[in-house]
Amino acid sequence: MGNFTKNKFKNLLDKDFVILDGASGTEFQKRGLKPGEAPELLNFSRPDWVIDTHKAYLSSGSDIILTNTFGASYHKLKSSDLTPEQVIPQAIKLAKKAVAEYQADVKQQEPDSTELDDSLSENKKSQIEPLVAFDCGPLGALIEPNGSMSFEQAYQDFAGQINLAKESDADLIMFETMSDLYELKIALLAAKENSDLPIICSMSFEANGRTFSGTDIASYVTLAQSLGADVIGLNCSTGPKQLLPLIKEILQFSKAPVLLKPNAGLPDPQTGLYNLPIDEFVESMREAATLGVKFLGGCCGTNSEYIKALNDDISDLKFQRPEIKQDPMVCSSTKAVQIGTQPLFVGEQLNPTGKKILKQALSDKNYEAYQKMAILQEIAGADILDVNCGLPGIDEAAAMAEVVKKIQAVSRLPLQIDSNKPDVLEVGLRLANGRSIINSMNGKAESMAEVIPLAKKYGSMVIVLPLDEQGIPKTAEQRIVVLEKIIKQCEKEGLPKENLIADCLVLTAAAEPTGGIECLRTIRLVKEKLGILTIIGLSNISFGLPARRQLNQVFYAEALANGLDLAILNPEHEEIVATRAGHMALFGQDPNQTNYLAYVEEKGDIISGYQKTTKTSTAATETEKTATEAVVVPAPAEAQSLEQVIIKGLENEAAQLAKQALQTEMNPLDIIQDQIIPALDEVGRLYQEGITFLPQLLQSSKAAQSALNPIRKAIEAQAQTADSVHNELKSAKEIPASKPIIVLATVEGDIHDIGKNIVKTVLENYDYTIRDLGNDVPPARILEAVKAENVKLVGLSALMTSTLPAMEATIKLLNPEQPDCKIMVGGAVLTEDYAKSIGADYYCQNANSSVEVAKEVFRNET
Amino acid sequence: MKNRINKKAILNYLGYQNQVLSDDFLAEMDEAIDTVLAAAKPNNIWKSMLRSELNLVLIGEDINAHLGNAEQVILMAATLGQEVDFILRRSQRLDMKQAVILDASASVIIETYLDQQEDFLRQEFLKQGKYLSTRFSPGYGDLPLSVQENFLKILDTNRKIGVTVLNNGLMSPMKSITCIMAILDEPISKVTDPCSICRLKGDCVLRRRGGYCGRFRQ
Repeated sequence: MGNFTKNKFKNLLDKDFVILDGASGTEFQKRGLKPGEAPELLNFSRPDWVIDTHKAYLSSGSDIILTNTFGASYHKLKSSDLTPEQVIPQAIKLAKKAVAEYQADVKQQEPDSTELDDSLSENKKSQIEPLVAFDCGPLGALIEPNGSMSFEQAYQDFAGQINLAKESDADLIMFETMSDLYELKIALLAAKENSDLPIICSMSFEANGRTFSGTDIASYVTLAQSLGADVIGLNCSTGPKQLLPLIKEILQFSKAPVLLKPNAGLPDPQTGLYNLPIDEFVESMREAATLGVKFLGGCCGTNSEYIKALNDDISDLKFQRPEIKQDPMVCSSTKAVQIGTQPLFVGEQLNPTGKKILKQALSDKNYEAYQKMAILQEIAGADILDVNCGLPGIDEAAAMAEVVKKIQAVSRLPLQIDSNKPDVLEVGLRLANGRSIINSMNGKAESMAEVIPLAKKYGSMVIVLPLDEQGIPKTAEQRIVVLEKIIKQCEKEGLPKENLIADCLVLTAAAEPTGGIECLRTIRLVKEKLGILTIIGLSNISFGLPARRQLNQVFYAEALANGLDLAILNPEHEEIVATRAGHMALFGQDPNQTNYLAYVEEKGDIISGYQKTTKTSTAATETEKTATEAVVVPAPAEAQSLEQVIIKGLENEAAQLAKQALQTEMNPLDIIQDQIIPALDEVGRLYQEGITFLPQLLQSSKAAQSALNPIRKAIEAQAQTADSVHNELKSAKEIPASKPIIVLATVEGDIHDIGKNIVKTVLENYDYTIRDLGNDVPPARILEAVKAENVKLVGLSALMTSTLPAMEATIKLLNPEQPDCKIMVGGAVLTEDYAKSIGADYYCQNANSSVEVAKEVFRNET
Repeated sequence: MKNRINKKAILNYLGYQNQVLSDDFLAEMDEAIDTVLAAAKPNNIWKSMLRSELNLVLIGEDINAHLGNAEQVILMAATLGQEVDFILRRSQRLDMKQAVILDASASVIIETYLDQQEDFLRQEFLKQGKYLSTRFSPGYGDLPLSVQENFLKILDTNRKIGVTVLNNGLMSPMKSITCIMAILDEPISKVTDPCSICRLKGDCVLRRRGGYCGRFRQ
């Protein structure tokens, strides 16, 4: 069946233009469907209307008709008495019946039509058997993080629909009116993994060039193409004229044939009716066809008359489309990055090697540190984020899954999935919302056998290392030989070489005197001889040498001069950013030095330290202080105590005073106990009494945080020293271990996180260990977390009246199982009485009440 | 829209009770407003319908009292779009203070946007000699959030403006509002007292402080 269908579809591609149908809703309404009524029900209640509608389109010239299943998802049908198992086969049956009846009709009329003029009968002959596309709209539920449907659930739902369509012999699949790129990705994976039917995919874009979820054209095309969509296009949203600029953009990027299926203009707001006249619709569609759009149809407001007029109008046109040439792209759901056009930064920081905080995150399965770091890398100027979750003793694939999901909830950058384990790579490539880079594959037979299939399946780009069973070649020429072998193997297996990025191998200069020059020569030779993209992992060059950052900077400049495309590095190092900006300004990659001037305007002269801006940005305060930033931190105007500056919320002063206190050899713990805690207590009192309000409370929290950072570092250092000399230094060793644990969660069904996050910020300052389970947390998950560490205090948050039952359910589950675990609750709609009535131990009226509760609970504990 | 944004309302969301505000804070608030406005893609959709067609939406005493004897009503939904959700989520990972100010600003900005649309509709209907009541939203009084699903279905918000109902009647994007207005032949004489029908009356922190959540226009 598969091959037969593929052939039918291929035959269709031989036509100049492929005509789809128009709206079914408009046709059904003509026949009596009431607004708000689900059209899918008509498959059973009025099959005659469905067949008539299909036939109306077939006789208007549609080559492909869509089944009446736009809303036949598991989620959308939940509110009806029907299931996809009923609707999809029935709808396909009706469409097939319509095709059969239409073909019988045509045959009957044929004797007459032989008399007609040549061109028309030619047209009839060339009419290939119309195809039935299973029409698949969005699921109707939003996928995490915008909604609560998981990737896995969405996949299951699409796969279920696809299998039903396949079993009922649909000729192809059409995903349409998609606005979430992640949903489209899942749909495409489900279609590819469960059938070999041809796929048309179509998203709905607003006139501003984005979908409702923020996807732009380049990202859409990059993703759809990498996952092998057979046709890529636009439908719904506005009229054809408004979509022309967007369709031009698609034509620029898409190697696949392009589709346009727009509405009949914009609806009248009062009546909801579409009223673009047929001739205007056809005029714009003709223009689209002239530009190179091959698949044409109509969406909301169009009917068979529009399609007939369209079909008649373009019958004289020949299909023509200029060949496209584009540098390869990777993308997230909202940002596409072209590779090879200008030097790019791959942020290296999301890697636990040498980073305690990420190791901790991986072993605690709490990935907030990854999120934070991703945001900081993005703010610093990363174009792509390298993601690595390698830590001995953990389930790396499970960690990669969570980390990818968490990072893309807060970052817009495309990802580079970094692992030497194929299962980890696959999880990352699958869950990444976009097209990613694989880091990495080498010339060993085993590596190629594992990675090439993944790169093909997910359409990913791949970093290839010029090393194989013989080890790492020393010279550039030898590396080219290995790379040639890899390219040959990839091309043999159908992985085109433009998807490959050669790692030009930076060896440590201190150990390998020719390492630097051979790397630079490799970059140059790869560009000249192989014509593929290049990348290096920068910092390796300076390993073992002092003042590494200036060495890295020198090497980066040399590598750029030799034609480097990408570098894996830390863009928080300002001198690197400056080097790139300077390189582009000096070597013709920055016309009129516009970007360089803007860079200097923003960052100043990083050598002299001159800076225009006086305010340190959020990003700067979060990162480790660089030399430049240290210059601009003003000294406290007058002598103030640490306690005072925390109360006033002065971050820089708090950090400085904490460092000063540490230098006086005060015990770090005493600084916390004697200065920071009293300050926070006072901050809390001022807030409770209404002398300050929420932003001021949180400002003081920030100040306390910046004082605590150096102190915590000092405590860690002490603990390490204590360990190494086997010293029974109790204070340093035991305190971190005995920090009381508090579990926080926003209850199931509620995605409003802000209240819980405020509480967390305040509690963290008091040095409690917070296990933040996030939002929309099922009761069982909370119970599990409480049991796992015998937690004595849980904080639950709910923002809406409709999620209060979930809060009650959580308490009902926790109380009998963990009777000595106290529960505090808070949230905008809660009252003290209600909190008591659902069995909570404490009601927290505001951000600071949780501190009082925690103090009480843990006082009772000891 | 910027000059229509009521900064006092943003402060109210933040629990403001006449504390002294530093210049830095005011600058931060301005910056937050700009950030939200830059990220926002405000969009709305409305439909005038027969009241009798809306049994699945007009549930409870309070909405029906609010609509008086109107036969026609307007259903409306408005949103700031998903990008605003993104910046709110992201800010909560870096800086909670900035996050709460952004969140409060976004709440006021969606109300302001709705006010503008409401004014526009008011003008339009006035041309036909009709008057509109004030806005009433699911979740006010005894109008349950559970009507949200049908409400959004009628307006086809998912397709038209990208607003989807989640479980429990919450909407995504988060900064979205649905509301109902009566179309009347005469100007309304009485306005529903917002607090009188609120679930939290008697236990409202804002009221105790002499404030008000600003959910209705005054």
